[in-house]
Amino acid sequence: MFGFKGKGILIVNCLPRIAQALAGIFAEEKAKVFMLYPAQDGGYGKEILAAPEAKGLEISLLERPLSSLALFKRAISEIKQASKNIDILINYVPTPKVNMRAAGAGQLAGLPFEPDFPLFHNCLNAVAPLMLKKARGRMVNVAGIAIREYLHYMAIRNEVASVTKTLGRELARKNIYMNAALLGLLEGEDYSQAMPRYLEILSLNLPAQRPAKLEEVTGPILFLASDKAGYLFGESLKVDGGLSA
Amino acid sequence: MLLKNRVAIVTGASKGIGKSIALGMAKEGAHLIVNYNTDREGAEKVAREIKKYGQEAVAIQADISRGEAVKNMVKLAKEKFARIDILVNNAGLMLEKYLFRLSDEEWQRCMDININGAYFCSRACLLQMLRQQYGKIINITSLSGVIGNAGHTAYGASKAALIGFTKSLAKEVARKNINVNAIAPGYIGTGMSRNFIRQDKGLLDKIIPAGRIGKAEEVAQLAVFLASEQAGYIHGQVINIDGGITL
Repeated sequence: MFGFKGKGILIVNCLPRIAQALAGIFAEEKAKVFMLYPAQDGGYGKEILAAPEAKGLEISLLERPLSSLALFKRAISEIKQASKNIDILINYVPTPKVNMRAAGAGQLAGLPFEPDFPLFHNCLNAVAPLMLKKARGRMVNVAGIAIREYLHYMAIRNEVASVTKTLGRELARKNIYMNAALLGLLEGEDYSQAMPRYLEILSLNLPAQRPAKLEEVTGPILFLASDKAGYLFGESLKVDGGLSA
Repeated sequence: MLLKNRVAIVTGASKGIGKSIALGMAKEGAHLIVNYNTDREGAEKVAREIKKYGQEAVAIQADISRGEAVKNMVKLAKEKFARIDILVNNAGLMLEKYLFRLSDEEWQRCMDININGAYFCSRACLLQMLRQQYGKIINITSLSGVIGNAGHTAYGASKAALIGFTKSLAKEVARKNINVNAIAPGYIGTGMSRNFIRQDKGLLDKIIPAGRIGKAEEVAQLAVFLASEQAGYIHGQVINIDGGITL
């Protein structure tokens, strides 16, 4: 349906439910699918692979140390040995599940604000040369929900959007498509710890008045990863029920 | 098929981007109302082509800047298909003139087609979409409405108005399972912008990061995606499809 047959696809650090759904669709279309997670976050394996394995789909899961660019390159080189190309990269930036509402600057001091930007950047640095060499490729950067009152969420989203814009422009002439999907609330996720006010946000500020279904999140990511998204470069597609409209 | 048995109205579908969107939607299983104002032959040709894909299609004449004509078109569409799932407000008038040379009539005509047309069509279709609790409205705006362009004061203003229209309407109807979004094409190789592109081709190649002009089919694929269930959680967005020019 999307034309992924024979393509090498790498999904990095993605929320397990989304990764599982994406990998299943990629694998059904006979793509070579690799999922990469930082080793210290181990334990994802069974959860992610259960459904695709039940369907008899083959997906490789790697949990490797990814704390530096050198380590990232090593992991990518391992993937490259198994698959000739990495044609598509899904690069997910997770949101920390802590409540960091910032009502004033004074409240910021001492907060554990450590979004995983190095992992996001290292991933791009490690994969881009491979795509540049082939002069083709698609990168989809994905960020979770952003709500104005939650500083860390906004920081992650804006970082992803900015990197996508800047690199999207640079890579466009090399036939490499970089775009982003900026997500909103997802059905079945627990936001009570990270965003205690999320129900209020849902009822007051969210035009769709509901969280997204899983397929409404995977659909746009798959579209951006496919050749159907022609002539789109550096775009950040906001899949958030109109929250940012 | 992404749009199996959906019913779509595409305004200004006798040529250019509108034609490509109509054909793209038909390939994905939609039945089409091919709207035109003057190019009857072109619209009927598009309708015949759609039928080759096994979908139903009817070419309907309506000047979208006239509310009564739009009402009649939507009435005919409902009589024929009993529902309207997708509306693509594509018909547009591109006006290239510096403001001091612009006549009041030209300004008004640009607004009548580009923004009033979208208003008449959206309002006429919305009642049916609200009844269905389902609908997709896609407004074709422009790069000029997003970043402006010398010589496009009227055109850019009308397309910027269409962006405001998109965002506000999206917020009005999102909870009713109706998605309203906009596509902002950059330089696309169609009739409407061909002269402009020809004059500036060398410059365009330099300023477009992708190093090329876009194809109408590429805009059509984005429209098909936005009209599909996959885009069910996208509301009030303006998606630039311009080879990276607005970055």
